[in-house]
Amino acid sequence: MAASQLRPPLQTPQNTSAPERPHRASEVVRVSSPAQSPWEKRWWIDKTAKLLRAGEGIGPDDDIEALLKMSEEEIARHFMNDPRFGDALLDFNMYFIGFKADDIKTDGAYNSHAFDFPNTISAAQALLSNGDYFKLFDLEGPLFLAPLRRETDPENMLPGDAGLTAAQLRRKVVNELKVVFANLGASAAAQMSSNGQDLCRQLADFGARKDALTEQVHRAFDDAEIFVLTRAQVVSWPLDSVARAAREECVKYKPKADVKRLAAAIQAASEQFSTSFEEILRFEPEAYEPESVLDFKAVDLTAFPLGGKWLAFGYEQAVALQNSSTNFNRKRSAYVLKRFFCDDLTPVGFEDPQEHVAGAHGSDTSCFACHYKLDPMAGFFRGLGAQFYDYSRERTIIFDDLADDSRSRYEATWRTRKGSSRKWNIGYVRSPRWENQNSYGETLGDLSKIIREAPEPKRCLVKRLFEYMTAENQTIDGGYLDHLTEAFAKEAAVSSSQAMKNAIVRIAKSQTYHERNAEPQRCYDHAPDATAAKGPPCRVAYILQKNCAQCHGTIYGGDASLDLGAWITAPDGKNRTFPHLDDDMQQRPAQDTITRMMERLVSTDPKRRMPKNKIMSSQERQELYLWAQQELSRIGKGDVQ
Amino acid sequence: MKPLAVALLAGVALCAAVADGAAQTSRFKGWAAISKELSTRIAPKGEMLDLDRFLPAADMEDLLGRWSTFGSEHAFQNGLPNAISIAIWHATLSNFATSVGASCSAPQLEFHAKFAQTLKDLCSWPAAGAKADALLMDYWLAIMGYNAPEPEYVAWRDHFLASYKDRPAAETITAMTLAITMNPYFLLHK
Repeated sequence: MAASQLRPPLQTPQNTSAPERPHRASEVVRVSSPAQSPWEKRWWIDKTAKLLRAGEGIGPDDDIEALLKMSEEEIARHFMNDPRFGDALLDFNMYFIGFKADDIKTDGAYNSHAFDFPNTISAAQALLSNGDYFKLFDLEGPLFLAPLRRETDPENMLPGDAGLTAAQLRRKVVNELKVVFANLGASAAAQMSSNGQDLCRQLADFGARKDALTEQVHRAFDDAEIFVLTRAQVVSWPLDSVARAAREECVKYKPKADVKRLAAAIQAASEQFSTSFEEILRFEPEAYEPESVLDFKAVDLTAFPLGGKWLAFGYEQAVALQNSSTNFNRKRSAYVLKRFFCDDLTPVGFEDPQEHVAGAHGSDTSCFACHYKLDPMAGFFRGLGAQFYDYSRERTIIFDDLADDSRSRYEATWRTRKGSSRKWNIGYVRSPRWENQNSYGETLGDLSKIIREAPEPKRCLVKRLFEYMTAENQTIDGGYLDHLTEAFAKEAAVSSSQAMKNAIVRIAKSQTYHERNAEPQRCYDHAPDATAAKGPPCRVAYILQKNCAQCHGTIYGGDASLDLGAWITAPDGKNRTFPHLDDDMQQRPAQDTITRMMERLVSTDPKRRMPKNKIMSSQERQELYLWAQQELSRIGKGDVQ
Repeated sequence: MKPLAVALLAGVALCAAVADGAAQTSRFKGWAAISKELSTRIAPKGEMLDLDRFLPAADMEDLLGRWSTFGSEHAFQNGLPNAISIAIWHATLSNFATSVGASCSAPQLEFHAKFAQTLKDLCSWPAAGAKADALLMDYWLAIMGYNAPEPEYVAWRDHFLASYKDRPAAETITAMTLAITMNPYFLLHK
């Protein structure tokens, strides 16, 4: 119970109000809009400090009096210049991708999961240096390794490891494998003039011990580090390259193995192994302990066997977004649609496709309502198997359920039919009927480009920012969201970093943000040109106005006698509904109108589906449908609005 | 009114607040956020108070609201107040409040110098100086921050000036601290 509810508030005493304490409400000084008492402004400042300084509000060392003299925009920008803003950004970025943590630091040091999502780090760093914040949308890029673990895991230690620190154990395991390569190299050198059969026997033994040698190295690392070692093939590539050379040279039909070639393979493997671990050991915690997000260091990927770009899906995402031999990457696809496009895949129907696809998911209408966009998105991940491991260079793909399949057969799922202008049926599909509405591609690089260029992810980013700054379930008026997005997109065309900062300021100045106890169902902010209304609930008013009101803006026109821009008392006197007349020019019950709307929203028949001959974004269709569903449920239960 | 009664009323109000407000705006901030807020206000600059020791048992912070759930997409868990979570909050914050009250005789936590001074002054309760509005507001703001509107402070202050006017300092400060920390404005996400 709030203290003020214990008993009626008494008159505030007049004594002892020191200058640094809040002024009483009667001493309101308007510093910025909307008008606030100094007490309320202190609350706003504290709230904004917590937001932009990663949870750290106003403390005893802050000069609140100086802050009070500043405008809200100045205060927000002041906090955005604080070093802790980098942590706040990283936290928001992790929220955006669905992996927000309680705290990214413990006792001043970054937790390892703060390093796990490279695109969130790149974007935070970029924003702090006025760079390209849309790196957040890049699904390939740099790798940020956390400081290597400080503690050993006693369970994985061998008897000879007792007493070693984590760093000493790491050096030990690296040296152990270096010694194995050195011994092989020495044997090869000694057998240069021989037929190489002794070396082949040694290499056969080496090949048989590959798994054991890998485990020997892994015992010095934790799961997240092993994930990096595995994906980068830091251990497997050197071992496999020697084993491959041995397989090709040490064969029965060859009386003499090419020892020179084997020696070169061993030498190359050894050097690659050493180079990779030199890079990894740069992340020893004694030498690397970042104090801010800007200090996060990217790995030099050219030191690793495969080089190139690093997949942005980190260790935890690899665990959370597993694939299987039967789900065809749909979990990963749903993740991208939800996180980057704010599409929750609510099954609300689809346009009848011009070309039907095979299988239950293509012919069963309730399935196809999601699969028409889910499956093409999943194709971007077709080469990635268990833990997002890249199998695109291999014949077989292995899934997280440990099943395997021929890669070419597996990938055929996404091949287009003969005669198509595209090779793959892969992309972001807005409409199965109107292909020109869709964005197609083949690679994850293409997907990143689609996310960068499509309007939906920018709107999604602004929506998530609003949720993050106010409350996750706070209703936002669609017109206001579009207004924020429009300003954001316009500014982002010049500088995405400035656009993001400006978006933060705009939301911090909004009415919703100023509400101490906002009602989740209410919209407090509207687009500048919005007409204040006795119109439909704000959750759907803008969607209706944008998509439906052109044809259903009055009861006196069209076939339906329906006005979706007004909101009146229903015939039952309890509920509210849209003006909607029946054949006798009598107002229809609310339940009837809403049910008809839902039917039209989910219909696959182009003649019945609304809006007619017009594309409505699936996000808006879902929102309208969910609202209608909840409205019907509420009316059914007899709850009054 | 005794602290237990205050806390029970607070618990009932928290559950009621959930029923009224529905969902997120009435969810707990979570243990991590509360720990950080308190540390920012009363711990030495840049340091975190060791508040985990006040939890009744290890890992109970999971039941007080948290984001981190390894292995799946993160959603805020255990944020809706219920009988169990309120009992844990009450036990934890009672331990914390008792520790602050006991700091009058021997410091139990490392505090920021400003807060230490405020607490020291308040430890002269029930002396008149400890009942000054300025000091009480300093104490309120040090724990609550600006989370609550002004009438909350006024009600809290007047309650203690009336009901605890002759009580010993440690008991009063314990009750004051618990009353602030069990206040929905302190615990809930707004």
